[in-house]
Amino acid sequence: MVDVTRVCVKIAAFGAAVLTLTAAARAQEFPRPTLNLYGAAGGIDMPSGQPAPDGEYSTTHSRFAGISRTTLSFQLAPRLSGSFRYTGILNWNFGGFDTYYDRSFDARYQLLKESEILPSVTIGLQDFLGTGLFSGEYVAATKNLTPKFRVTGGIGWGRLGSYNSVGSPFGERPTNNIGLGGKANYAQWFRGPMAPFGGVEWQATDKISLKAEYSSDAYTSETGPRDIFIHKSPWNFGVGYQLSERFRFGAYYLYGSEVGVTGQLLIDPSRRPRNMAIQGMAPFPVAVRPSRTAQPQMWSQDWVNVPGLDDKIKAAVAPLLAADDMMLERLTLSATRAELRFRNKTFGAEAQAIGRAARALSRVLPASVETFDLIPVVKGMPLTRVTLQRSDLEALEFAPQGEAALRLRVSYSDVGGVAEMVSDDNRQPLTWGLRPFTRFSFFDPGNPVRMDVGVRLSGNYEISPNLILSGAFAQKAGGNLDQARASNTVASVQRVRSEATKYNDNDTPVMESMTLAWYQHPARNIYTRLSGGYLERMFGGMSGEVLWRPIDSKLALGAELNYVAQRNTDQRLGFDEYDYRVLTGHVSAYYEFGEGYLAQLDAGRYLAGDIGATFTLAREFDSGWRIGAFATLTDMSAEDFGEGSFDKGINLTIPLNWLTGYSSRKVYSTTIRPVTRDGGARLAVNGRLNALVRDYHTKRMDAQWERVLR
Amino acid sequence: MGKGAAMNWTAAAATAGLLALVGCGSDIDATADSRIVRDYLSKVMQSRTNSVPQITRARLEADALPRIKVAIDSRKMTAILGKLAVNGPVVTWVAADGATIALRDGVAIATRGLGDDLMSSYAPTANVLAQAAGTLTRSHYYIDGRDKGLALTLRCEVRAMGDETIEIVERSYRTRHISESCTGTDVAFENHYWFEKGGSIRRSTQWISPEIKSVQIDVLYP
Repeated sequence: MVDVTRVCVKIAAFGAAVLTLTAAARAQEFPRPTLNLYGAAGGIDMPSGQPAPDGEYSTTHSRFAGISRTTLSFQLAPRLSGSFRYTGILNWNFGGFDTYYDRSFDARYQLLKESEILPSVTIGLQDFLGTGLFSGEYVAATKNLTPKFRVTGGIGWGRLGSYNSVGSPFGERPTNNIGLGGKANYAQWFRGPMAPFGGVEWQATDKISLKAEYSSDAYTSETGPRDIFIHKSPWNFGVGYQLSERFRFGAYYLYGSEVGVTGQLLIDPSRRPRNMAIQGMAPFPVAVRPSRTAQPQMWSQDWVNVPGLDDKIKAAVAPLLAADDMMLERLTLSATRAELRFRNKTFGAEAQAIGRAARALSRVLPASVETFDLIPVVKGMPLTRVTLQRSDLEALEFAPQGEAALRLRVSYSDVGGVAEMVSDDNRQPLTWGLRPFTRFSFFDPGNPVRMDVGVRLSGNYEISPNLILSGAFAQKAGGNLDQARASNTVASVQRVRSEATKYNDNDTPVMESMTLAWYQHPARNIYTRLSGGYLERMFGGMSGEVLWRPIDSKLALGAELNYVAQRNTDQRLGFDEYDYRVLTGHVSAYYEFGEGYLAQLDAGRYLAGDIGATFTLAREFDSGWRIGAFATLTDMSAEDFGEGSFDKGINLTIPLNWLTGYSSRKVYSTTIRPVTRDGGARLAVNGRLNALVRDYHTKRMDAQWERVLR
Repeated sequence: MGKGAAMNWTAAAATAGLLALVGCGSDIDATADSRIVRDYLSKVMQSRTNSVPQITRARLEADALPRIKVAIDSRKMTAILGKLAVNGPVVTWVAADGATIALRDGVAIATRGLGDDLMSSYAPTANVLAQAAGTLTRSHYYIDGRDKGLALTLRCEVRAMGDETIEIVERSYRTRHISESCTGTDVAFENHYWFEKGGSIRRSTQWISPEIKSVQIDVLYP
């Protein structure tokens, strides 16, 4: 109890110091924090009380004393952030690993926002899910005393309470039963010895900052019998250098004996990189109709009776769309109204495609056609009817903020209930692509990054716009994915995703997929898909899906049912290697909270026959960037699941358009899992409806509406 | 393992980089990145070889087509543009590379295909400028990195600078030089207009956007 008093006195003294000093501070907007060796906002090796800027995504790599940390951090909400870390320790000599690799997760929440007087206070959990080797909890307070000087003080438990502790106010810290990892070690949180830490940071110039800190981490495991380094002092010193908006480097003198370095990549996904403007060809301008009073004959509706004129008009519209790599699917004309169904393969911003299509029509259609119904079509499904008036387009083309005025005059509606998708004959039924591919595996237990490169030939044959035969063939050129550590598994569990290594171990061409898929938008708000064939690299069979998604709804519901068999590892035609068949499927709910926060719940039966649910929470930016985290809990026991106890991971989606500024619908997506096992594994069928349909519904269309007149 | 892994990496990265250029096919989705890399490279090569187009009065007279010349100093680019479309008083001019600039009686009000485009603007008319009537406001509208509208509001001082004789492609024009000096948050620029007797703008330098800065526009023909 004496210890508690001591620490209370210390904290009070620190608090008094902070308050005295802050009286002088006048900064209302506080400078952004810098990152520590753990890739979290902080000093050198200790955390701070400040959050990163909202939405910031960072990758940090740091090294000292043979300890390397690679951390992906994301400020999920203004107060909430999370990190995924991959740590490597040379000469750890544990469990048969010379270099020991471990994965861990952090979570941090800002309790108090910084004000003129009060500091920013954050409570944090470090390595709260993993094996717990790096576990520590803390409460830290940071105050920017001047725009160039900040001070941090905090108290830590676990690893962060291991040096010069002042007592254990909340009882002893139970030994962590590491077991299989993946379980929240909450019994330990804030228990055991507690120790204070603190530091200062001075922004000496625009680019250079100097840091000093007192660390409460004794590095007990590293400095003891393992002798990875010698802890001579709790004091750390360092210098940070901001090379550019996105790159930062640091060098440190640590624990009186070691030199450390760090490199950081900081990304704000909400905005394109600075100086990365929207590229791409200018649009065809609107062709304005002649005045009705001056040239009434031009406004005559008699053209509807001219045989063959429809075809001529179509033939004139199609090349205007083709100039933007868009495709006319159907054009239906009446004297005053035109309905254009078209395919957008170019513009990541859906509104931009709408604007281009509208201008193309304005250049060709007779003057009497006043109303345009523009319907983007994906896989033969007409997704939304965007109705606009041609006279608005003419009047607003060069009006100040014309796009905002245009949005007020445009309406969206559903196009459901079209039984047959009729298409004009200018389709190109066969499309193909031959291009290199890379396949990555991040952070597996033996190697931070594994990669294969090769060549992939892919093709689509449209029997009709919504009945599509597609296939992909690949030939690996080289790589090391086939050397991934084969994980030990439980005999009673069907080996599904844990067999990935075998599927990557092919030196001959493989058939990645070969499917026939049929899409429909049979009724208002309802979309359907039926796919059959070699659905993915590891499974083939049948897959059916129904989605209910009103165009402006926050909620969507879906159901999917698949009957699949496990493919042979050579990825040719056979299914006899495993002789495993499974009925798998989910009911899904998708919800948009607003501000880009998305949630998804999928409940059902997984590939290994286990039953449970996956919860996904994501943040999506208007640019199309998306970062999400998911966890799957099923009736498969932690013992059966193995290392990690349950399936979880991070999804990352980055649009090519964001990276380059060029118009494209291509996105790069990756899923990072600490371990890939057999529990909670879902079928990876192509063309799931929600992602296809949602892009052209109100929310996404409006997200980049500013580009409609681009 | 360390060294071997590093070599694998270098080789793999180099292969991926090279192969990124060779993707081909008719499937736009599959080959988008290869196309973008190639477009970008060809643009870089083009800008290296861009030279001031040689044009003569005789040629302009023979073609008898409306022509303007736009010079973008910040890009070291000059192009001859033709008339593409007319919407009321606004004429859209197009360059060979497909970029467009919209002029309302000679006053630049929008661009497309230049990168940091001026999406729309609330700008003074040529008449108001010609009167050199003192202070006015201007608004420029852009799309920011978040794909949201970004407004730049400016206060401008318009002054008569006196009579000047200018020469454009072998022909002299007697003009009144008007300057428009604008300031806004974090930005300041000067536009210049050379008005002919009838009130049309023969030459101008006009500020477009923070990245493109000022462009010079010469009306070559008629």
